[in-house]
Amino acid sequence: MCGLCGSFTDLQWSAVPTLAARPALGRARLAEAASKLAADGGVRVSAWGQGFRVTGPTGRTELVGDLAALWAAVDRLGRASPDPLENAS
Amino acid sequence: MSGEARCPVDVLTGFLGAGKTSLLRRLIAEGALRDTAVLVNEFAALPVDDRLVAIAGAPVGLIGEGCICCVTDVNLRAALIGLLDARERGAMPPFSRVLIETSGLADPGAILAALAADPMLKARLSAGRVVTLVDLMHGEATLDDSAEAIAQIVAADAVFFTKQAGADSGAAARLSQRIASLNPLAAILPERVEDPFAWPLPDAGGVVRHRALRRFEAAPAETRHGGIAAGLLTAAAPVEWSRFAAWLSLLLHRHGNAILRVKGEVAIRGDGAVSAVMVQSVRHVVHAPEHLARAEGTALVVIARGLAPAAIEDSFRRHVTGEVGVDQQERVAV
Repeated sequence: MCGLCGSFTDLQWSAVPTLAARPALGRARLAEAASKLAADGGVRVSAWGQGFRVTGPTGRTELVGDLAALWAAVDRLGRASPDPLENAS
Repeated sequence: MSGEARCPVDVLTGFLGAGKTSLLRRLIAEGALRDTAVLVNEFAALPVDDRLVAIAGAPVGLIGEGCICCVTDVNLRAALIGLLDARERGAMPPFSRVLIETSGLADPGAILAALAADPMLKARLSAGRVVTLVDLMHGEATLDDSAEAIAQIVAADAVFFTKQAGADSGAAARLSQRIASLNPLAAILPERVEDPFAWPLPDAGGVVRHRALRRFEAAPAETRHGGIAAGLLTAAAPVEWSRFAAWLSLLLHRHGNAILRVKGEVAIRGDGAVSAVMVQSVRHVVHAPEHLARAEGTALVVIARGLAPAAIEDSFRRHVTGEVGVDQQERVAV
C-alpha cells in the first residue's frame, strides 16, 4: 500500500550526541553491527567514505549511502537474506 | 527555514460517522484552532470555500476530493508544502500547528509515514498527536469487520469515544479492552474532555513503562484482529545504539509490512554517559529519534500483524541487549 522501500536514515549515529560529533566512529560502529547481522550470508560490511562498503562471499562489492541501501545490497550479494527473527535460540 | 522549530502535525481520524467533522466544527467555533492550519478531505460539511481561507482565525486548506489514505497520493504532500509556502510568503495567517482531518477510510499510519519519509516535509514538520474517534454505538461492529478501523486504532495516541448517549452501558468498557489489546500506547480520553488534542497525555516512555505494562498483564491472550499482537521490548542495561540501529533497520527492511508500529524509549550507552531517545516507526519508516531529557530505561512497544511478539522480543535480546531469559517479558496476542 505505501510504496516505500524503507527510510532509516534517521536511525544512523546522529541520534547519539557522542557519535554525532564523530560521524566516522558512528559509521564504523554501525558497519560492525551490520556485519554481524549479515555474517551468516557470507557478507561483510565496512565503513567507506560517507557510506558503507558491502562485500559478498564471492568478493563482489557494492558501495551504499545509508541503511536502507545497505540491507538491499546485503540481500543481493549474500548467500541468503538475513532475517533477525530466524535462528531463535 | 533553518533554525525554525518543526511544526507539529496532528491527525484527527475515526470511523465513518464517528463525528470527526462535528468535533472539528466545534473546535473551530470555540477558537481552539486559532494557530492551526487545518487540512480536510472535503469542504462540504465545513463553512469554507475552495481556497485557502481563514475562518474564525483558523486557516483551512483542501487536500483533495478523494481519500488521503495512500502515501503515494501527491495531494497531501502538495497541500502541506502549499501551506508552508503560503505561510512563508505571508499569503495566509501564521500557524504553529497543522491538523489533518482524514476520511473515515484513511490509515493515519500511512500519513505519518509519508511525513517522516519525505526529505522536504520532515525537515519542517514533526509528528504530533493522532486522535481516533470511536463511535460507541457502532464501534464494536466496525472493529469486527473493518481493517481500516483497526489501522486507526493501531496508529492512535489517544482514543475519544463519541455518541455515548445512544450506546449501551457496557460498550465503553468492552471497547476499551479491545483497544488496549490492539494498541497499548493509546490513551482512552475521559468523556468530559473538550479538546482531545489539548488534553495532556503521559510521555510515551511513561506510557510504555506503566500503562502498557498494566494492560499487557490484564489483556486476554486470545487471537483476533487478523493476528495483530503487541510486544514489549525492555533492557536491563543501556544498549549500544549501533547494535540497536542495525537490528531495527534490518527488522523493518525484512518485516516492515508486518510491523505496524514501534514506539518507546531507548536508553543508550556511550562514552561513560547514558542518554535516551524516543524512537517511533510506522511500518518501514522510522521517524527522526528525539532526545529525551532523562534516561529511565529502554521500553519499546511493537505492534505487529502475523508475527509472534515472543520472536521479536527474543531477537531483540539476542542481537541488541545480549540478555537471555523471557521471564521479565510481558506480551499479549489479540
